[in-house]
Amino acid sequence: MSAAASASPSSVVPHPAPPEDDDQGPAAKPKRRAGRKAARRPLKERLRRDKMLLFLCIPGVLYFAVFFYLPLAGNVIAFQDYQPYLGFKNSPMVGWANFQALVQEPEFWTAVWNTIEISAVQLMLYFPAPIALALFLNSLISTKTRRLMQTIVYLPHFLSWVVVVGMFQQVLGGAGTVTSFLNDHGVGVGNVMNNPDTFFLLITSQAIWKDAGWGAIIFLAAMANIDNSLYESAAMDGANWWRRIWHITLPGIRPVIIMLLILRLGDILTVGFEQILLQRDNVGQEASEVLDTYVYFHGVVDGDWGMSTAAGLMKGVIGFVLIYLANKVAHRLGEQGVYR
Amino acid sequence: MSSSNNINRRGFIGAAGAAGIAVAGGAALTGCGSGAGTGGGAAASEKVKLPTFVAAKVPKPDLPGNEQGLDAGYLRYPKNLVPEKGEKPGDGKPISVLTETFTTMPPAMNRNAHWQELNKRVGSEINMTIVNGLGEESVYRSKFNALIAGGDLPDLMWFPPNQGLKNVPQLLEAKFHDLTPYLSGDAVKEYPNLANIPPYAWKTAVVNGRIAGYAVPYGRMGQVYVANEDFWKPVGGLEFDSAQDFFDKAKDLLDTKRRKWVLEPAYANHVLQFAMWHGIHNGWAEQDGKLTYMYETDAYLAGLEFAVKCEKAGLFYPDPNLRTTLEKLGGGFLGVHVQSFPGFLNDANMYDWPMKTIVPFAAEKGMDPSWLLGYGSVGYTAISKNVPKKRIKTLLKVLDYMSAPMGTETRLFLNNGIEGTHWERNKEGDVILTKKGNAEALTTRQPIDFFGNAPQSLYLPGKADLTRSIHATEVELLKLGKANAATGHFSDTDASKGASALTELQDGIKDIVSGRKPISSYRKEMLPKWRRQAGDKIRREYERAIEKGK
Repeated sequence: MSAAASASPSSVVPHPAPPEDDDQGPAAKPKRRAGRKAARRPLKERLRRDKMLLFLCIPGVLYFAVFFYLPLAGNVIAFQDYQPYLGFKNSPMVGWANFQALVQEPEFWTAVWNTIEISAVQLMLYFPAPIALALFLNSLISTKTRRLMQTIVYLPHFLSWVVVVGMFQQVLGGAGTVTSFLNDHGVGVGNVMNNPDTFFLLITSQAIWKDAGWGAIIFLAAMANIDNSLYESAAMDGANWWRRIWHITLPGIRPVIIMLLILRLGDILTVGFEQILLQRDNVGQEASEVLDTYVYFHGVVDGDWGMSTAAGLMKGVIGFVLIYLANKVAHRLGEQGVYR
Repeated sequence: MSSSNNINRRGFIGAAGAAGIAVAGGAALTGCGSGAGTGGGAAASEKVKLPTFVAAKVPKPDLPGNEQGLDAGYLRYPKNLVPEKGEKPGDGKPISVLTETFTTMPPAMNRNAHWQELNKRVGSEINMTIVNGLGEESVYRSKFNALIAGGDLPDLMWFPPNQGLKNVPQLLEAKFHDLTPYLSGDAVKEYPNLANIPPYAWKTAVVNGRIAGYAVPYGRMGQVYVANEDFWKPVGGLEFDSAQDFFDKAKDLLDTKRRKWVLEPAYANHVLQFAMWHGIHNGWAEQDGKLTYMYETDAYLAGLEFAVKCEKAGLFYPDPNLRTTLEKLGGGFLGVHVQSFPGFLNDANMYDWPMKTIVPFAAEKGMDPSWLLGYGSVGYTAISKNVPKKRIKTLLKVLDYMSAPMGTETRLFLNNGIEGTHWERNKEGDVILTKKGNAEALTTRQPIDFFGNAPQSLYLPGKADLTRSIHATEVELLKLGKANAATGHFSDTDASKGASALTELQDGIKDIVSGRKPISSYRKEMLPKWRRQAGDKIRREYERAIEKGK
């Protein structure tokens, strides 16, 4: 029970309408719609007025320009037979040849298929995990226990993948503690770390173990914003624990869930580069090649820059389209989405 | 071309990882043999005049070496060392280098007395960018490619063999100096230590008709099968009369309840060792003008089948990513692993458990076992065109300094650091590293050795008997030694596509041994694919080159 939540003034409307845009100042308010254009001050004046804000924006804008927008120009490699020793300027343009060669590569389709498979499993199993964990943590009454639990479940997030994979290896690997114990007692479980058929489950469970706690933070924050009096009145009306979750908590955090789901969709073709790279030898290339490792091995490692940039570009375009569509769908369903 | 040393790099990386902080840097653990095939522009390359060989005048070794690749051995550290010349090779300006290590990273230059002394003696600051290859096989290649793509090349760049670099000939032409005028023929005599590098090593640095770089010397000895003798004592030691005998004994020793396995999980390396018991040839072998690659032979298939049999019997350590191979071997939890010869020398120096190589034996009665020779080099160091032409000679002089052979004061310093700080001489005259020496000299010398080194020699401080025994083993191995028929010839396709096609083939071999693919897929899918991708073209090019050379 957070004091801030119970002191919240709006106790009846769970989703208050967003406050009106306030940037015109109180003076502009009365004739807002009609006089918008007329009330607009000249650019010069606005620049002068906002110069501090604009100044503060510069580092952020520069950051995105230098590290995100400028490198986009590098995508021209996807249309070139790019040779580093020739550079952008002198490498011959080859049109769509890289894309054509790419779609004819069976390895590429293996990577696409693996990526989709892993992604689908992660969406079904990994995405709900932090929500469930947040619900569980939120339901703990003792603050002390909750804090302790939170700390414990956050911690794995700060371990690097090398360490996490090493730990899984030590426990579940062929020579691992659990496997050896079971084998010694006559239970043959094989080597779950080396099984290509269940690899997608293995990496999903690793991801849940490592990051579910961290992912729960944002949901916990959203839950803290739900007005406590709602729970109180629901309890007075005889709603049990499950009904309170179903009718109050989940609707309360729905905008956050939808926003994260949309963001996740944009990332759907990114399924854990380092984690997979580390376990490639365990299960072989056929089970573990995903788009990111494909781009890495064909581009950076093998020096086949053109084709791997084409693969990366395709991945980016698909991600962009997914985000765009998901956002549109969210709007249709009356949600805020990621942006308007 | 990889032939003798085509290694599953995980294997040796694992070994190196095991060695941890205490490991000797020294001779590197990479097992990649730089092959004849690194060259391109075949016709032109055949004509290049290699640097004239002039043996360095150094103290006579206790155990003689020879031109076939037998290493000279020293039972005690030689006395009467050739003194260092007063003149410094450097020009006062910093020299940037890209190199690799397979052991712990050395302390940074400002905290590293060995490195600082090196800068002082060279007369230029040696700014090494060191890639740590420990645990990740493609990391050097990705750093290398990223640097090339970024265009910010260091002065000296180490070109590793067999790591699948692409379009090397074109890259060299565009971005690196041609060293032929400085090193070909008698020109090399200006750099006496470079003239001491044997011609078989120089051959591997010829690309597209020019000497592309400084051939980094490395033992002529290829990979060896190294066992912990104690592990095998219960079954009567390391004598085997057949592959089946090896299998039976290994099975006897397998004890998973006590976490004891027999074979380190570097599958491809073991397959090659097993294939040697079946008499596999090295790289390309010629019969009636036709070449066959070793991976296409029945001997290789027999080795592969034997490896599958071992895997099914559970002899391999169950997790492929083992990074503590040497500790497990030392503790008696593993029986045998494959190691590059220089790596083996390193380990023998570092560890006290009884390390012994298994000399290949006949898989079945009547068979002739073989053993695959290395190339005597581990890639080459090229000088980038960012370096003005007039500075090339300076850099060659610096590399000449780095190549000072055993028996010189310079080598004593390069390998061991500063007397009193990094090492001390004991009563018997052995050079013993101090704690600081272990932390600095061993870790600093490995990245140096990858871009500039002396031809290999044997010296294990305080272990004269072991030195003798290793020398004797070398004699045994050389009796079985097989060279590659394509050595000294050039194939453009091998230069551009050979390594990546081979890497794919080896990935397939891992799939077969670990049971993910049936053994029949080797000849049905994998070999045909390798032939299509590169193999057949490489074959034709070598056949033509050999025909011309006759």
